[in-house]
Amino acid sequence: MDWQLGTSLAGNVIALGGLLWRLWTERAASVTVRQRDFSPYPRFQAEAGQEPNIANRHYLELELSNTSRKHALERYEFLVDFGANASIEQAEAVSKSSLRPVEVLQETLSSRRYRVNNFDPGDIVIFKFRLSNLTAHQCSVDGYGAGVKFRKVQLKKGVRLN
Amino acid sequence: MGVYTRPQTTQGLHDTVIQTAAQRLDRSKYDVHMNPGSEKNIAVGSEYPDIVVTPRGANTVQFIIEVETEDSVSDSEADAQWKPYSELGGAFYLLVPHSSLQAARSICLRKAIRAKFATYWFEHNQLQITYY
Repeated sequence: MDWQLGTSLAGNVIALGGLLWRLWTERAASVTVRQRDFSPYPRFQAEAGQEPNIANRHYLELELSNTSRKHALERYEFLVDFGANASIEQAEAVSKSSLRPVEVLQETLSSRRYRVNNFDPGDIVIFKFRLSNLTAHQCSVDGYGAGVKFRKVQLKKGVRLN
Repeated sequence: MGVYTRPQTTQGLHDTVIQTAAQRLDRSKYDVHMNPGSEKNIAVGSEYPDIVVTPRGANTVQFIIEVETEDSVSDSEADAQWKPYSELGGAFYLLVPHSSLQAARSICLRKAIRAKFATYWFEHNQLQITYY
């Protein structure tokens, strides 16, 4: 009887190990947003007639990566919103791992909604923005993919997110 | 494992697709290198993929594109080229005839080859290419 008990126990341990491994490798896709750089232009006093609000103009670069080991996201929608007062002067989305352009679904003065297609594990998209009137010094990003709504992340000046 | 030798009829198409795909890539962002036909212009390790794309002014491989014709979407080609190319670094694209997309996908799935896909077809005598 003892050896039977031992065999059964070993079998259960192996089965449990297999289940844990499957849960680990098949966990839901997670997408992280990492702040890469958030540096304001050097401040200086603007003269009358010069471009206003230059002190508050910023470059912002966001890195969006699919950190899942196995789950490709056929379509991933990504919203970046800098708040009502901000103006996006220039925006660029560059995929580091796809030759298919990132689609811009919706543009407002202060926000962009993108669609990243066939977002495979390990894929990275870089979003670059030139902004003015970013009075709140923050932006919110929100993503939707594979039926999962990802948590809202606030990026604040000087805060590093990983 | 031998590398597949194309008949002359499809070799011409293969090289036309390489030239066209390379021409249409954004040269302001990328340097594009080609190995059409039996040319060996650029190597990645010891391999010679059809198209190698690096960021402009850099030597890091960002994309590898391998062009196939209908007759070369096969298990043997997958073993001989797709698998090693997909492990060279950078994103690996298989550029196949539109009609061969499902076959290429299923071979990659079966052999656990990490690949992205692109297809080509002719429309009004113009070669069309789509990246997925």
